[in-house]
Amino acid sequence: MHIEDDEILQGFIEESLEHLADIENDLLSIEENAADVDEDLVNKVFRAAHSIKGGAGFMGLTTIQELSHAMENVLGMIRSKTLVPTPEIVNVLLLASDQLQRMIEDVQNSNDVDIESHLVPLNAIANHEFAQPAERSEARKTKTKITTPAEPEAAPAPPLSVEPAEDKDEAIEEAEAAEQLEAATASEEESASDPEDQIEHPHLTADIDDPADLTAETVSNRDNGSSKGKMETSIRVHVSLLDQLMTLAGELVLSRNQLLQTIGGEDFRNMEAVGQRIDLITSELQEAIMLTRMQPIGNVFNKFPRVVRDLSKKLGKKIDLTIIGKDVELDKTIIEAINDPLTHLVRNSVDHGIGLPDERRKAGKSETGVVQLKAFHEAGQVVIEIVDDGRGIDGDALAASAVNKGLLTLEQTQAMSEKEKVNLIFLPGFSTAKEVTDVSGRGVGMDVVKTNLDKLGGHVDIISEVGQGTTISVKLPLTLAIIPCQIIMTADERYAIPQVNLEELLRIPASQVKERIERVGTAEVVRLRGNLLPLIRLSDVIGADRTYYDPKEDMFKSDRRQLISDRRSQESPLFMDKTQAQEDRANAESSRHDRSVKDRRTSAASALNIVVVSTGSIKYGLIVDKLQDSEEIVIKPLGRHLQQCKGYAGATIMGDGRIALILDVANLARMARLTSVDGSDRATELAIAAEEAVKSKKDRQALLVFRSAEDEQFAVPLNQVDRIEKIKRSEVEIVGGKRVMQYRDGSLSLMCVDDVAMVKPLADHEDLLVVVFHIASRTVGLLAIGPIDALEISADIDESTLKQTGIMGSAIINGHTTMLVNVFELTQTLHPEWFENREVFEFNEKSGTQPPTILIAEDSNFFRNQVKGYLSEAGYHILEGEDGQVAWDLLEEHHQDVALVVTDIEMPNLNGFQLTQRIKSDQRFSGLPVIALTTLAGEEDIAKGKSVGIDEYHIKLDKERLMASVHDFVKRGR
Amino acid sequence: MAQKKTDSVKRMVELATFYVGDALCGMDILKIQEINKLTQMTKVPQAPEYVIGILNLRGQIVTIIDLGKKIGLGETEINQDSRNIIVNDSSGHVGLLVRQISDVVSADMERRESAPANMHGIQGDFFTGVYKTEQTLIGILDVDKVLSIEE
Repeated sequence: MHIEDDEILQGFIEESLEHLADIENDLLSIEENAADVDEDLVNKVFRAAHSIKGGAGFMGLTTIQELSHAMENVLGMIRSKTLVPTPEIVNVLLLASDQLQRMIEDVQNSNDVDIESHLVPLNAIANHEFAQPAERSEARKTKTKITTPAEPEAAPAPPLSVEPAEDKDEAIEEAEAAEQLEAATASEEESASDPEDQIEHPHLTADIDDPADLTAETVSNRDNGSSKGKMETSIRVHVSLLDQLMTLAGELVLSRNQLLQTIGGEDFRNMEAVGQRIDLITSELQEAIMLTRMQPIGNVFNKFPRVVRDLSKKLGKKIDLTIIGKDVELDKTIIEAINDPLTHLVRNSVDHGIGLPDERRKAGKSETGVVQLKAFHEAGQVVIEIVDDGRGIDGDALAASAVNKGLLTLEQTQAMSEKEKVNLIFLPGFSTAKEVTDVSGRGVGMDVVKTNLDKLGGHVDIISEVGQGTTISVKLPLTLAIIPCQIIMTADERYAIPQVNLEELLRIPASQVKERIERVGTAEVVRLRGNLLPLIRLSDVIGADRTYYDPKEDMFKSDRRQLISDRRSQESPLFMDKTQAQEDRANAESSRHDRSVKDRRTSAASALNIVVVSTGSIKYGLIVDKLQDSEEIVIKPLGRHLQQCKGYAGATIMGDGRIALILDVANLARMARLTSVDGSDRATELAIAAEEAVKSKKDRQALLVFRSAEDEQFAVPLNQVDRIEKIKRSEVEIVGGKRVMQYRDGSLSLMCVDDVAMVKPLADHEDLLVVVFHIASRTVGLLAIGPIDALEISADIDESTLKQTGIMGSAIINGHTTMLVNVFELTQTLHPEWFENREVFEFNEKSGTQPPTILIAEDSNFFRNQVKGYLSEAGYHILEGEDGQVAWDLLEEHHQDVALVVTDIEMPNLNGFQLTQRIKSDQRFSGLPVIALTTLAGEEDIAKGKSVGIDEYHIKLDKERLMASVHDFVKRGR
Repeated sequence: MAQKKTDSVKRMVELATFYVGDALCGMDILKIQEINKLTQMTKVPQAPEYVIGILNLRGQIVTIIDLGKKIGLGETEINQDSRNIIVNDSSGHVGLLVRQISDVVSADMERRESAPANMHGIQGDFFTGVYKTEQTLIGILDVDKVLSIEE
């Protein structure tokens, strides 16, 4: 071989690989169309093979040339419609194109590859098939085991020598094809006496008998090859994008010149302008460069038609693969990294998801299964969904299997929700198929998939219904290079924590540290909404100096406490032992500060800042000195001298030019020897939670607690809160007699509880909080002051003593009488005009002779009265039952009147699920809509509710949505 | 040896010299990308003892190694005279903190002598030889060795 010019060769390889990538899918479409040949498509494949042949001839790659030539012959015949592309023929072509690809990826050795096994069937097809397509298929059916070799030599030796260099010319090509045809016809005539001998060529039959075996192998081979050979080395960038980059680079140079000039001239006003300009150009440049890394997801998706085709053939299944959203773009690194997990998931769907045609027919489904691969953008992320209409995943079977394998105990699985059971599939050491097949399901798959996707900052979710199918959705960030991070400070250095790991930020005021921080052995934990959260002190884990931040002096001071709950300094000299005295002298500077404050345990400096982070199944609190903003950062790798520092995922450069380290949350947990809360622990946790729920038999309600006046505590349901903003009093503007503030480029209407309710006026603080709600399709802010807290309480709500307009009731929370604010009523009183169009909606019931009857099933008096209040206000007639059983009896009694059922989920005697089930399975009520109200609208509950027939879910006290949906159902029912 | 065959110009190497502790060391100036005196370093807890931090060199993260500590000549104090010698490493740039920068010396590598027998121990490992000028001795630093990561 004489390859002189590396560059030309490289060009050839790239071009050929591109051609081959297309060939595969095109061949598959040709196969689909069968006799109905799409000429353009065949032409395209033909030209691709032809270009490869031409290039190979030029480079002296004779083997590649020979094979592509043989393919071209067959394609030529398909094009001229002298040959019908049966699946068998397409298979031979596919195998040949796989071989071509392998050879092209390893060009240097390509001339030594034995391609006889491909040439023989190709030539056999070219020689004889076209004349006798009918016989051919017949011959195959009879499966005559004739082993006479087909004298491949008899096939006209392709006149290769003619064209290598000059055959770019289409005309020559045509002539050649014609020649080829003639030759083929001739040889066909020769052997016409015994066509079967020719057809049933051993190689050909061998290939066709078990094509999937071969292809499966080649597919995986190719994967390795292409991901290394094709993706890493070079990337295709659109010229327009390059032009844009050039323009930006040019502008950057101009701005630099300007900057230098300005610095020389000391013209400070201009300097600002130049700075802004550079800022602008830089961000544009960054964006443009990021774009060059974006690749269409089609690069990964395109191989799946083949994978699915080969697999389904092998397994004897009929599967249609639909691909949607090929154009969705993702960062190159992500595209490369999702290849394997996606392949695994698709294979799983084909292997385990879709049943055999027989099985499907019995289940009343069409024989052909559908697998859908979908990519789309959602909320700044890319979502990839793999949907099948197959058997679905049986959570109970999984749970049983987990118990059998000893991964979980029976009690643990009983406490799990359906969704959690389905997610058991991600536990290490799990295989779903009853038999382990070589396609997927070696029992190591799904957990690896999850781990790999976790590494990318992705998230996998499975929704499955037995008998209906499975949807696996994978959420991925657009790019890995820029990630949003929370910046924190410890020991006077900044660190970044990726937002994907961030659960919440927690500040424990100094006064509560003692109560909320507990010790379990040597470990410290914090009580967070009833659960224990392990705590890690960042400075300890990474071995930095223990410090704390003193906001009064805006500086970091060294901290000598061993335990968080210890006092930082002791007032009494009795506590001063010798070592401490020495230590104090050593820290003379900081000690003096220490002493200046009397007991800092109650000063602001002793408050704890905890970043609650999670990674995989581990969740813990990281104690840091100070919380800063969240920022988008660019990840930069650390040098090799720092590779041993496992606590960091990299570093980033902050706005001031200094570096902040990015924390690796998973490794920090490992370093602190936090054990993972794995599936079984989670199950225990759930069992306990379930037990507690049974014990208390009360609805738990998540509340946001805040104050308006110093000594009056209020609460609102947490799920109504959009977000909380910290503002200064000066930001509140009074315009047109209304209080507003600027918020997200608009004005946010502000109100106070005392605007409506008879409570003490808003405290005169400089720092205010705005609790933002979304009501009547607008946002509205409620002014409040701290301290705020989110907690879950058992609803023991007194709804008479303190009830008034804007206050729905009261409860004792943490020893304080707390008023529950009815935000809806507040808004309605202050802004009746917002609800005007809704009134119309509510009045149209009057046209009917009798108001529709709504049955409410709810065990808590408080909630029942609330809902009853809303509904009767809107003109409905109400029947109420304090549990499911009572409601059912009422329904039986008034079955012709009831137009709608509104039910709670957790109720004694007959719970909401059971009630719904009973209603839906009774013929009299099968059409009766059921709306469920719940305090915990977890996805699991929703899924469970849907399965028993609940028509809609609403969160308790979300009056607006409930009313809209009630109206909707009542109207529909008429 | 290949060096002997080349002409005398090729044998001449420009040595950038600098002080590590009290020792005058030198290295081929062509191996140096730049010398700066940036001090805005970010400490890296958990890092090896000789790594004093990382700094931002025009958007690149550079690991700074205290050369004195690394080769066993004592800690280098960061002050007016101290400088970072930025060299290329397989995984990016690395900065070597030295106490003070000295002259560039044209050295004939033929006249390089092996490290004296009494210069053993840890330090000895890091030198490929010694070059003698009229006034002083320059220890020629084995940069690759300095950058290597010992187990």
